[in-house]
Amino acid sequence: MVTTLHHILANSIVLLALKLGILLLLLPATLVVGYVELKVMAHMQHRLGPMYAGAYHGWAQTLADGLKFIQKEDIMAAATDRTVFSMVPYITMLGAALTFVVIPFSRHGVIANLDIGLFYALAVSSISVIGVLAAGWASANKYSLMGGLRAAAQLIAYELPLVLAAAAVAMQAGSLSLVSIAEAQRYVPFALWAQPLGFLIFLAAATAEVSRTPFDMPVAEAEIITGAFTEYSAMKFAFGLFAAEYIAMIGMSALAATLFLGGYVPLLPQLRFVPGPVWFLIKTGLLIFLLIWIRWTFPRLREDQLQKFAWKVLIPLSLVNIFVTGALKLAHWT
Amino acid sequence: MNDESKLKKATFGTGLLKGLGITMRHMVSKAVTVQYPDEIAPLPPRSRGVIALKEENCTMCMLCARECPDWCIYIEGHKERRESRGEGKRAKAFNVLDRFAIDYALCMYCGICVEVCPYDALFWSPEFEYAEGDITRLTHEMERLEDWMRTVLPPSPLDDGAKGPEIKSAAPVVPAPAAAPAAAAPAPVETAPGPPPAAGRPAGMSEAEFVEQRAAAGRLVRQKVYEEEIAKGSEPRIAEARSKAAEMRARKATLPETEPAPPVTPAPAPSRPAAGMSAADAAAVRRKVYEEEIAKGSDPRIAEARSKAAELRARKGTKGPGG
Amino acid sequence: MGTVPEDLTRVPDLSSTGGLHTEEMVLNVGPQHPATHGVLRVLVSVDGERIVRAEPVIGYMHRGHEKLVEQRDFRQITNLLSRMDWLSGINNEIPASLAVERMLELEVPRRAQYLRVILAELNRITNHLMFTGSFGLELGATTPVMYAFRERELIQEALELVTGGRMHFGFIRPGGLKEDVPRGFVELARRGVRQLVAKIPDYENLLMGNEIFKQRTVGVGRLDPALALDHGVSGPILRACGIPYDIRKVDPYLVYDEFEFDTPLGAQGDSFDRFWVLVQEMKESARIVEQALDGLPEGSHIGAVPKRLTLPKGQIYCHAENPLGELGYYLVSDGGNKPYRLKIRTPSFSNISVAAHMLRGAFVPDMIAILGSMFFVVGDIDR
Repeated sequence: MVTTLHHILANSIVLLALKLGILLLLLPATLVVGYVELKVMAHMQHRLGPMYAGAYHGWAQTLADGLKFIQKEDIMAAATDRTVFSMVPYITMLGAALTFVVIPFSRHGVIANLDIGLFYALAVSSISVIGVLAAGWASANKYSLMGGLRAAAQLIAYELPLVLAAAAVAMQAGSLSLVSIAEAQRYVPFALWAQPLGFLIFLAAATAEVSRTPFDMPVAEAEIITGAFTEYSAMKFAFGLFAAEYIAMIGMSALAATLFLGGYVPLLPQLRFVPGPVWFLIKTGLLIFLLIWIRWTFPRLREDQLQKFAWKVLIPLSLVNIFVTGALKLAHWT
Repeated sequence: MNDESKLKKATFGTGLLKGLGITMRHMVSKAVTVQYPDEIAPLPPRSRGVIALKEENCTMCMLCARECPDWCIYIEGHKERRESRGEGKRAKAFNVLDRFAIDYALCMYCGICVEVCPYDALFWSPEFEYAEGDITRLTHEMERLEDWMRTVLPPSPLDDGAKGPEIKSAAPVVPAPAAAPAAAAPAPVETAPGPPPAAGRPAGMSEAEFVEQRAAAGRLVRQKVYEEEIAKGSEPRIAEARSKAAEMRARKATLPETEPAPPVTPAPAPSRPAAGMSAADAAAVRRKVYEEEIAKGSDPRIAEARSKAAELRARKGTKGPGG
Repeated sequence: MGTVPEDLTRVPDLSSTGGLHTEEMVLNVGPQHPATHGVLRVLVSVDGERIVRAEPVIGYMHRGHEKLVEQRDFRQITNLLSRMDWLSGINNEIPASLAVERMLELEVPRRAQYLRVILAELNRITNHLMFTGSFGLELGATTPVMYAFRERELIQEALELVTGGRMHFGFIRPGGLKEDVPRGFVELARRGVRQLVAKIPDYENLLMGNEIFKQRTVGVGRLDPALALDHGVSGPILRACGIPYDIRKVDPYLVYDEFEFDTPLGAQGDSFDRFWVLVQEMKESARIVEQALDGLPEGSHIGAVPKRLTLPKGQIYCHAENPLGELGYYLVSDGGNKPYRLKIRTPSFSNISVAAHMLRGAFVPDMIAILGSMFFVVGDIDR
């Protein structure tokens, strides 16, 4: 964190404002992604989805939902641990949003180009789980407790393959800085030649990290209502669950886009005239669409099945991936 | 073995890809949603949306209220004596309907009342948009129930293989609106035979027997008119509607009498000529309302029903719905 | 909390916890819970996520149908019985009319019998489509239910054209039907079942071919055929255990013996088999509808029925294959125009009674998969 502050202070005020803008844009971005999800889901289900709010194809639907959440009564049960309960939305939001500090939108459009950016991103993305666990405990509800414990168990299962898949990328690029990793993929993204297996592993683990189908057991509404957030209402629900989920989803997609698709780097040298942020948004958007597509197609697994999948399939595969990456690197040098 | 065991076999991810293909295929094809308040999918005539009351057909026989499984129909009324009309006729008592209400908060929409009504006073309408915030407003009083008559649709023609005995269908009494508006003029009346032989209730005959006998006579009239219409080359539906109208007129013409009527007095064309306008004027009213409705963008069937209701009101000389 | 049957109090072997001291937690699933679709309540004792004991608590929707019908004549009863299993009104009404007809020895015209079969099978399809969709929903797949309802709407349209209702039809009468079908019904019904049959591969690929779905259902909630028979389980759930009990075949009523159709049988009796049987039965129902529409005879929709239906003194048991299993009416008449007593044997009630056995030892998510594949309607359990 000290390095982060140092970097921020070292930059000019204008740049600071721009970079703050990235964080400030996160909330509107969740509204946009939420709207896209509603529409994509609807059309995949042969429906139209929201069509009224905002007149044109319901573009303001998520905005209206948000405003409605603000007006709702904030209910807390008598047995709730009120302090912890109220802190949860901050923790989940913060954990999700902090990833964006190191994600490069263009070569210089990054809040802090940390040398250990990848390490930092993976570390802060796990903070949200603390919030979910706290919510499960503070709600004084059995379903919430089960949801919180499921989230914690899930963390242990997916975190290893996620880190291992990212480690292979770091080996490939020879750096932990996300800008360097993106630069290393100039014109050939890792997903296509060096790390296709790592890409798939990372995607699976990232889906589990953001608790989306088929790994949405912590919030499985058919089983445990909404898991840890069963007792949440109004603003706390909107921020603690929805906003945090969408920010985390955008964050993980942005991270995966940077690690495996080259982030802001154009796909072809001939297309260099297209600015970096546009490339970044296209790639992140594609991954977000993939996550949405998967969510509305698949049923969910069971918690113990996720554990088996993570420990028996993903982790061995990612170890093999690291081994192969290392061997190739070695062969290349000698 | 069977395709079940085939399905159960391990497929290593191809099933996941197939599923993704299915959702993608649907995403790029056109959605099937009907945007409800903007577009309304047409409902069939038999749809049990709301029950409409044709007040002038109601004789307060209380059959509907008695048969209702939920007891949600409230009927109140009193007897009135009408002064004798003409020489040698007695003053007679008849029922005046004061209140006819259906509590839709209780109603279970079974339609038994519509089915049992012997005088075609109750009809099903597909209209369903009458939700209320206040439960007491779900009790529809007579005016509101009569107003629903505007939305009653003509009965759908039966399947070609249907050869069964006729039972009461939820049809307005006037001819089907498939005919031109002018066809509403009561053409078949001239060809209708005289009223049935036993018009009044002879002494020693029970009320039930009397009703039964009159109904039988009405059916005779109906059959006759139907055959005449078919012979004229009318469409079966039109013939159906006209014969039904003839039957109703025949039955009603004999209804208020307590003594046998003189043998041949064809029922007057408009059932209550006293207050209303002539048939031609009424037909003009109908055309006008129809054109207005179409201009408003109403569904042709709705326009048809509303214009018909307007014509009937004009002929009866009553005020519009709610008026 | 009610009394727990003796064998349900036995704690299953949980040596998998490796000697770790754990504590049981009583989890109250329902009566308001997203996955019990209706007001079923299941009291489960869980050890972590493993269910030690489960006890379905029923009665939240008891409306007293058996008592209500004692005060009503047979036309009114039809409309009440339609409301027991609200997903298959026509199928609820048929055995009641059969009972009256058999007692009075009424002749039902062939056209009416054919139409009854068509309507009953269409209704069976709408019922099965509902459970096809909702089962996916319970496993977290939100899309199949939308597809199922798209097809359901077409068939629903055909039923509405005929009966005027979408759920509570009130259309089957002692002696035949309330009215004949309108023109256009035959085409609409044919279009509905053809489109359904064309879309069934989508359900099979989207759910049954999906590896995650198989993970969640194959081997989950296995029902022992002997246990099923002990509890009077019937319908698709029994046939998923491999027992070919289909009343349309073993005790044909209406004109079912004139049609060619198969009884799909499962092999293991797990959740997957139950779902598979359900989907296959839609195909068979579609076959029956097509055959009946082809051979629909001309004639009357109702036989000669006395104006006032008065049953002779006596009793009769009449059963039929409801979409969910065996629906039976035991009718006792004292010679009046109302039943003296009508005992109703509903499929959901018997089917849910094995749930306690099936849930023991399962995980909480499996509970949802098992209950979802037991295909029950709470109104049918409680009546």
